[in-house]
Amino acid sequence: MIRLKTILLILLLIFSGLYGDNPDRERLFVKANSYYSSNQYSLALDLYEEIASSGMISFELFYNMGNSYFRQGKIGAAIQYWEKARRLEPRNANVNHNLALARLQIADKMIMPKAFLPFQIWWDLRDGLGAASAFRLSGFLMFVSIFLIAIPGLLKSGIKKRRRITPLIIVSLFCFVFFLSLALDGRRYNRTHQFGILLKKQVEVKSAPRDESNTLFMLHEGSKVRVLNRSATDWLEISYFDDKVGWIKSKEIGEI
Amino acid sequence: MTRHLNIRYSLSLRILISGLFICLFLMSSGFLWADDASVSVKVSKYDLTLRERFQLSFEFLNFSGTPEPDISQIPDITLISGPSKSNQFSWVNGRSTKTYVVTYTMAPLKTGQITIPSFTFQDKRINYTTEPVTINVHEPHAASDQKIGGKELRPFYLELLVSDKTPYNGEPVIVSYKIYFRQNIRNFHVDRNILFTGFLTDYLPIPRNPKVQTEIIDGNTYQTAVIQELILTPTRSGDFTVPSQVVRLEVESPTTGRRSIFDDPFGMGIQLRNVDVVSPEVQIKVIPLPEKRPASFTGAVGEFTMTAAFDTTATEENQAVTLKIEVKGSGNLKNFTFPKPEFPEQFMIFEPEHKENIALSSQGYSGAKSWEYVIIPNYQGSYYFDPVEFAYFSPKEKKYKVLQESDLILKVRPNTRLMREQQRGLNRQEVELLSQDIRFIQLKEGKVIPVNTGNIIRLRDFTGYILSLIVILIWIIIHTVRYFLGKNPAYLKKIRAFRNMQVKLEKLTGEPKTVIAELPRIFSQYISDKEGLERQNVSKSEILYFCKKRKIDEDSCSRIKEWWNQAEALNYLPSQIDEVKVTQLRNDMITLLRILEKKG
Repeated sequence: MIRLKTILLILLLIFSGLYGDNPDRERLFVKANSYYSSNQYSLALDLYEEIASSGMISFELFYNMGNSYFRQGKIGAAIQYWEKARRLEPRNANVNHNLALARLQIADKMIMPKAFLPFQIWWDLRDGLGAASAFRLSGFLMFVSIFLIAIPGLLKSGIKKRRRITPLIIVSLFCFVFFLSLALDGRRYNRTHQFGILLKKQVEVKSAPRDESNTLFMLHEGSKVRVLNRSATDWLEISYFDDKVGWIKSKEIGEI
Repeated sequence: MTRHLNIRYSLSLRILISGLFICLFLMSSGFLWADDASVSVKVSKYDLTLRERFQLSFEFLNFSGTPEPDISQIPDITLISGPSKSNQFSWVNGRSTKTYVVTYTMAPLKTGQITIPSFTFQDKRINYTTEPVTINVHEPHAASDQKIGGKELRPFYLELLVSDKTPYNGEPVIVSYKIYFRQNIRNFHVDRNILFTGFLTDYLPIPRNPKVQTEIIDGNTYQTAVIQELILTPTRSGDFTVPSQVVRLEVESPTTGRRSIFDDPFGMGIQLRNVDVVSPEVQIKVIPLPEKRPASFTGAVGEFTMTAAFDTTATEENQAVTLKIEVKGSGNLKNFTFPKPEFPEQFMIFEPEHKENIALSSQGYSGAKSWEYVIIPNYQGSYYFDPVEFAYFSPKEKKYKVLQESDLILKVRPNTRLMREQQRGLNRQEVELLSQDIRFIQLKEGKVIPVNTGNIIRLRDFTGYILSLIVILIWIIIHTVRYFLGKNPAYLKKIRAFRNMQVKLEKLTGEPKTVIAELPRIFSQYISDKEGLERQNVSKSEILYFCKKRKIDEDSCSRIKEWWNQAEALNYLPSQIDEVKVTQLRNDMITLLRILEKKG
């Protein structure tokens, strides 16, 4: 059953390009864009939502939805959709620019201090590249390594040339292992770390999943929190920058 | 005669039994209730002093319901306790009577004649009106009131003792009810439904066995016991009256005359009876607190001490610290709060957690109250807090006193894990960003993928790995071929024969004579390699044999034969050798070998 699903998914991925040519989808997208251009953001959002409800998404769709929410003054929802878009294209300059601009407008401006440099480089690369890009890069480096190892063997004067390119082979192999590890770590991180953006202007983070429990701290719209647990009563356990943990209602958060 | 008598006796018995049944039926059905309902008002005393209490009773005879008199309409009389209600049924001469009595304990508020007006009650749509009752109230006089040392020596009386009749507003006052008695008291009941206007009231628990002492009052020996204590805390200044307290005593008294089995079932000669004793009223003058109250005064009156301290002297940014403030002492602990301390702006403040540990005793309230403020420093640094102040009024010293805790210092270290962006301010890029707008929307939709597959690695991401695989495959193929060829040198020679021949021809330079001599050797070597022969020199006849074996056409065979003859002839006639002939022979040889190569 799992194998069948995997096959179907792969087929879907291979042929997903076909969906891009859906004329209805294209028409809706263009119409939504025209609404956006004429400052009718609510109408534009309705159409973008309709497109998203088809089950097929794209970077451009999320990006445009983020823009529409931003124009409506909903910073939280805008950041949520831009973050979704960034997950698809982590190095897109437009979405990174918009996110940086939006983050300047949120009330809670806590940032992690710089960690031990190797770790910091690792985390920055993982977040900046994304798992898919790191994997692609590792594939390229593997090709280079294999090429460098194989080609001299095919030549008559290969042994002499191989001695010359051995350091290059070692470097390319090291880079291959590094980026493959980065890709695997990125994949693990994406699977184990669920994030959300606060959508309400002000959210009281409670000590327990009950209305009458104590308020531990306040957070504001647009803040990014990690979702740790879900209760059966529509409450989510969240952590803010790993050291502040509490419970909020699920409707107060937009999951990325 | 006897029979006649028997008949009469039997008839009378039947009538009697029938009558009894009818009576029982009528009784059970309520038919015999007397329908002459009435209501009357009775007072226990018509002549009394201002300090005395009296019972006011409403007696409802044969009323179907239980009316509730509205005694608030009675002027110049105040309610002390009640109402107490009782129901009584009697059956006299075949008529039943239902009596419902409502009794109040009242106290006059003025001297002179006080008239209890008539009350009207309705029952079964008929109005019943009471007669007005007049009582005479006169000034109390010591002899008749105390009756101690006088003619009437009272066996019981109740005194109300107040710890301070001129307290300050907010200063708790202890009120004790002390019973004086000369007869044994089996039990007592204190009515707690008294309203103390102008005071907050806290009753102390009634002792199970009050401590009994002996006192001599005006030469008479009395047993005394404090049966109730309460703490009154004035809520405003002015003159107030502590109202009378009624205590019902269950006292033992020796039986006189005929003894009832119910009063004295064991024939001990003692019977129990209820006696109500009423305490006198006490006037209390509550003095207002002096003006010029300190800013930190929140209503505390008594004697207090204060402590305030952090649970730690050093912490990190964004880590919670608790400031605990505790006030200990005696006074109106229940009636004040602590003034909110001033905290620096750099702190996040949460509502304090309040705890109380207050004990009630004959000395009033004593114990401690605490407030725990959880604060979170946002930034690093050394913080010197404003002194924590607490002001209270000391009734002993009759002045306000201010307690201060001024050594509150907190060192906040930078958090190793967190820091605030605000702390470093905005960098140049961010400042530039502030003046910009978001980028415009994407006009055309690109790659579309199913939802929830955003994190999946796609086929194109495998490009590098696929290319690597291809290279590895090629490498494997080549090496396999090489390995195979290494194991079959004859085959290698065979497939390389033409190439080797070409190389040798290219390298063949020098005198035409030498070249002509080498050409047949190269030819025979080619044939040797092709046929897998050990020896290099192959004769003309062998070459022709190989041609036939390979099914080379006759024309080609004769051309090979002719070329071979020509080459041999020139070897024997060196004088005829020239460049043209050498070139022609070389080209012919290549052409012929090409034909042979094509045939395998």
